[in-house]
Amino acid sequence: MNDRLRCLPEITDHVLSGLKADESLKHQILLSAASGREKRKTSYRTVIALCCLSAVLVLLCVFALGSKPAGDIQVIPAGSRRSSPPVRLEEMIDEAAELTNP
Amino acid sequence: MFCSLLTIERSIVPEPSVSSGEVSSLTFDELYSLYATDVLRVSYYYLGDRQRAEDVTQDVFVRYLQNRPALLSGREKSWLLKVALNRCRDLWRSSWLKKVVLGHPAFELFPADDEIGKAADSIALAESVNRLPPEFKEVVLLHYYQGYGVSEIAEMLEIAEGTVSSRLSRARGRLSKELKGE
Repeated sequence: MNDRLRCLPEITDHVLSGLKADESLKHQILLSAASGREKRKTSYRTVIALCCLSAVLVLLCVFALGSKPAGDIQVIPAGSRRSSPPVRLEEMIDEAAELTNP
Repeated sequence: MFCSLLTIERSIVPEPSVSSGEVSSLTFDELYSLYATDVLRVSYYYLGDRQRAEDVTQDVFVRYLQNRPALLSGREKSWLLKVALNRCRDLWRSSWLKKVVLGHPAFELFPADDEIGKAADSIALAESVNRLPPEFKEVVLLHYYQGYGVSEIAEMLEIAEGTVSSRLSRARGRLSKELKGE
């Protein structure tokens, strides 16, 4: 077996002679190094993973908001609160009469 | 005959001389033309997937370009292979579940057009090496394919020399058993 394995370089040259690092691979290397992207596949997968995570988060938020019962909304009118009870029309007229005829 | 002729052909290709302490003066283009195919083929043997082997080769050389490590003269290839094997190991581990579920990827061979049909036993040996467990495969590839000694492999893989020898011996046993069974 040892003798057979000693021929592994020649065997590899024979069976993998069509597998060579060519100019296109070299070009890719230079492009990747220039753009600072060492792991092109990993970064691609990272983008997909982040997109999926964002979609899941959005769905969770929508689900959480949708499950809150409607009608609990408190209506608060604009303006300052009245401390005294509302004045009735009759009372206002009586007071006006007193003012005109003391 | 075929084996010996190729051995002569390989011996003609000049290997950079190893001189301790001297920083490598090889440019990226020189490194790529000298070692990229070796890195690609070792990665392919390891992973059995051409696309992933190309990705590993790309990662290794991009890392070299971005970090510009001060490599010692004559040790450039061992650095490239060390980084490649680390990356292969990571990919192998990360795709473990996929391999268990979908099965091991087929080890496709890429002979040149004029090489098709030669020596079926060569193909059987290459396929058997590819089927070895990763810890055996890396020592076999570094020792028999790339020609590194036991001490160099121990340094590259950061394991004891005895472990390298043991793994080589066990890998030979496995290969022998498998090839006899075919």
